[in-house]
Amino acid sequence: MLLSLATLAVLILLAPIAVPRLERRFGYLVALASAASFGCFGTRLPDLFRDGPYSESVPWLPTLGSELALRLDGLSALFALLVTGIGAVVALYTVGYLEDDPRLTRFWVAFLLFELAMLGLVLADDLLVLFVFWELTSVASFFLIGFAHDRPRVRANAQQALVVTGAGGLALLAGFLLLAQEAGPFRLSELSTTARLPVDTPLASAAFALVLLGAITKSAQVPFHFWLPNAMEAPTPVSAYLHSATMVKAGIYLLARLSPLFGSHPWWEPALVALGGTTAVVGALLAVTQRDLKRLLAYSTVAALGTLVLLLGLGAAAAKAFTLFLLAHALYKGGAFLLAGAIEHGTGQRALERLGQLWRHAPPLTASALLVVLAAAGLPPALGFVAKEAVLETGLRSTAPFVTVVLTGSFLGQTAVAWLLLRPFFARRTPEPSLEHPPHWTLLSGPAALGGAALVGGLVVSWIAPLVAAVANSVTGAAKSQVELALWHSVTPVLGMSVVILTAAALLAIAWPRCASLGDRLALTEPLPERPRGLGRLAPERGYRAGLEGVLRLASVQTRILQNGYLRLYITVIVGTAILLTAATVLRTRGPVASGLPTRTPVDLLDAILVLIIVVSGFVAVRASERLAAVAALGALGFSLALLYARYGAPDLAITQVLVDTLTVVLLVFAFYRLPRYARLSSTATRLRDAFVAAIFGGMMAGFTLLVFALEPPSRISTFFNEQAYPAAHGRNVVNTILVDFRALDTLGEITVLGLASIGVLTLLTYRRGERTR
Amino acid sequence: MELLFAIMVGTLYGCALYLLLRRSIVKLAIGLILLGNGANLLLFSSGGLVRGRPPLVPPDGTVVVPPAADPLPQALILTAIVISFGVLVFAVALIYRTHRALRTDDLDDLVATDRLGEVSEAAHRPIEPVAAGVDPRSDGR
Repeated sequence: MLLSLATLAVLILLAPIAVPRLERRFGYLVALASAASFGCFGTRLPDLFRDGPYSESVPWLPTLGSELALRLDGLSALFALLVTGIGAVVALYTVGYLEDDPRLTRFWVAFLLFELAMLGLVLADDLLVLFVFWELTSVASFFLIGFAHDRPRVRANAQQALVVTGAGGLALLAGFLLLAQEAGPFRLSELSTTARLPVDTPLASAAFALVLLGAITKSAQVPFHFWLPNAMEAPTPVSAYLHSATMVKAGIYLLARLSPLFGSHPWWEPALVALGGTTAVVGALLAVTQRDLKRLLAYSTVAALGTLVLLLGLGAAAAKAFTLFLLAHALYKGGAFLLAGAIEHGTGQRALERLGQLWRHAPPLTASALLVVLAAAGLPPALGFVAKEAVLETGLRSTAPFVTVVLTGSFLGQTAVAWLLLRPFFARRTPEPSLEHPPHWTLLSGPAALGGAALVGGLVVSWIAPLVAAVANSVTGAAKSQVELALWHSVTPVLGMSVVILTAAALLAIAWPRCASLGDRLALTEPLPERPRGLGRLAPERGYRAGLEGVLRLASVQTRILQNGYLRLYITVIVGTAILLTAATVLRTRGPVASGLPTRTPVDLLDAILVLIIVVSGFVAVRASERLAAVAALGALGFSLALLYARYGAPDLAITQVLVDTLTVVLLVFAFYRLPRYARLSSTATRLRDAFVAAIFGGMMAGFTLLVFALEPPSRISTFFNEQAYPAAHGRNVVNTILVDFRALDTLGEITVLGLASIGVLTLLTYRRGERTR
Repeated sequence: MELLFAIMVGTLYGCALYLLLRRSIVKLAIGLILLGNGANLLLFSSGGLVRGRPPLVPPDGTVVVPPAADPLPQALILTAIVISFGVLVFAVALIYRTHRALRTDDLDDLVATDRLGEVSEAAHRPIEPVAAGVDPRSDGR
């Protein structure tokens, strides 16, 4: 398992170097790697059936108790086979589909990233690892949908898919964390076997709701289904791989994986049956009213995903039907998408009503189309037939009669879509669309391989039985069980329903032009326009748009308030916050300020005069109406300060202050000569307001200083320096030893800052290019 | 004496804040200097006031004899004085360039690029001369 993931990771790193050299042939390499992985997983199956699940792990984030733990059980094996098998077919198909597109490198990196993430997702045995891979699939999907990024529509739809699935991902993370807190371990295998969730706690219910939200956004359930048809802007191989066979089934996978844990929750069955049932019917209804081949298939995929969720909701009794339908759908729907891509590639046309009579021009394509259609419609030898029988039988056995109605309706729509795939080949159409060029063999092999697999799956259904049993075990949490499968069951009510569905669906497919014009009238056939009309007004996508606009508006409003560009407002806000917080703290704790003014040092006349000079100079600097007066005041202030430092035991400070102050005065005198004169720019009211804020701030800082004096000076650090200066640093000036010895690295940082500042100054002063001659 | 120091620190901070709130860009620089001095004094006060006894090891001993001024705040202030000088020099150079380029002393004229969605034409006024025939607002695409 780790080896498969590592191979894909190596290919990702290799792609930027290899794709420009190998060009389209890189696709063969990807197909080969995927096929090899498929083979590895296939050979594991007998061991899996005999010995049960198999694990591998590498330590990762040990402080969080999380490991890169992988586990192969029935459900993982099924998905891993789908991911690698369909991945191989799609990679091969892409060789013919994208040909020598200049963006091949980007495509293959995103494609491989997706395959890696999806494989990791289904193999992960750790909640956090699963989440990371889950998000990676969303990101990879974003890049793949946005492949033709020069079109605004493509970008918007890629963003939509990312926002919807990404938001669901966040909900999922929250759900996982709640789950881990409530049930204990991060290990999925432990969660579903040993740990039992106390079902009735609010925390467990919240965890379930959040996980469900993550799953249904990923698996495009109503009302989050809209992103899937919009994602059809992706290249068709991507649609086939991500948006029908694998990624959209990640949500299904997660629900199936967690069903042993959540299955007994009172919300499980009603929520899943309601969501899945609605999605199954809505998807089927929307599918038969579409004109665009890919949107048609997308809505039919939505219907199938709804069916799967519904089956999961029905619990252990439906596990067999769930597995069979999952497998059959992944195969035939992937094939159907690849077929649609081949048609579009050949004719440049995707609208169903403009296609027809292709069988004359492309007999090989027609042959592979027949394979796909027979498999998708679920005619007897196909795996789809067995799956449909099983699903309908489950429906009949369930206690609620509406389940049967919903399943029948959904199958009716999905089968009609399958029949509709024949239209491009046999419908009469003038003028006949021409095939620009015969399809490359890789374009034919894709639909043929998947359709063929789905078709013969029914013949070898007894071979599939152990896998189905293993998957059912994972879903139900049972230890071991047997599943008997057969293609032919003798004449049963279910067979009768099958026949009725096939016939009715064929009639529906013949009456499709009417359905499509009905869809036109209700405004369902096109992507949702800016101003929706008809049923489009009810589309949940409008909620998405309103939410997105709301967020953008909120962001711009709050940015305009907080980031208004006026320095003085920023400063006022910062200082005001500091004042308020300080005032609140002082009022709450009634700190040592109240205990009287500290007067440890007696007042000295000379010092008092120096303090007076400093205070007066400060005010002069503020009130000066001439620049030079302000500079002179600053000079007086600085030198008085130096004297104060000298008198209070800090000769080094005094020396530095004198030096720096001299330099400052010189600098300002030179610089201000070239700077503008003082101007009075603010109104008196503003000045008074600023003076008020400044006075409060000054008062607060004065109080703060008194507080500092009142506290006992922390002496421990200084005691160390006082004692160690001579023995350890061999210096008699303690301040000097601190600077150049004990804290030498700080001094190095200080020098660096000065160096950077001087580089900046030099750049600013010597940058001549921007000068305008005046 | 402590009370006088507190008043001094408060005055310096208050004056500095008032100058920082002015629109004139030159006053900003003076405010920065005052703020630096005020902060240094506050730091100095945190060690307590000890008059006339610098933290020196006497020639005949190996340790500083208390009472002596606290060496740690002094070391910190030394660093701070030098760094605030570096910042000041950079600020003055920046103000000088801004003034040369934009011919304004008013900070409120410099807000355009900070504001979302309402960037005025003036903000796009190129500082450097543009080659003839090139639209100054296009970014090359």
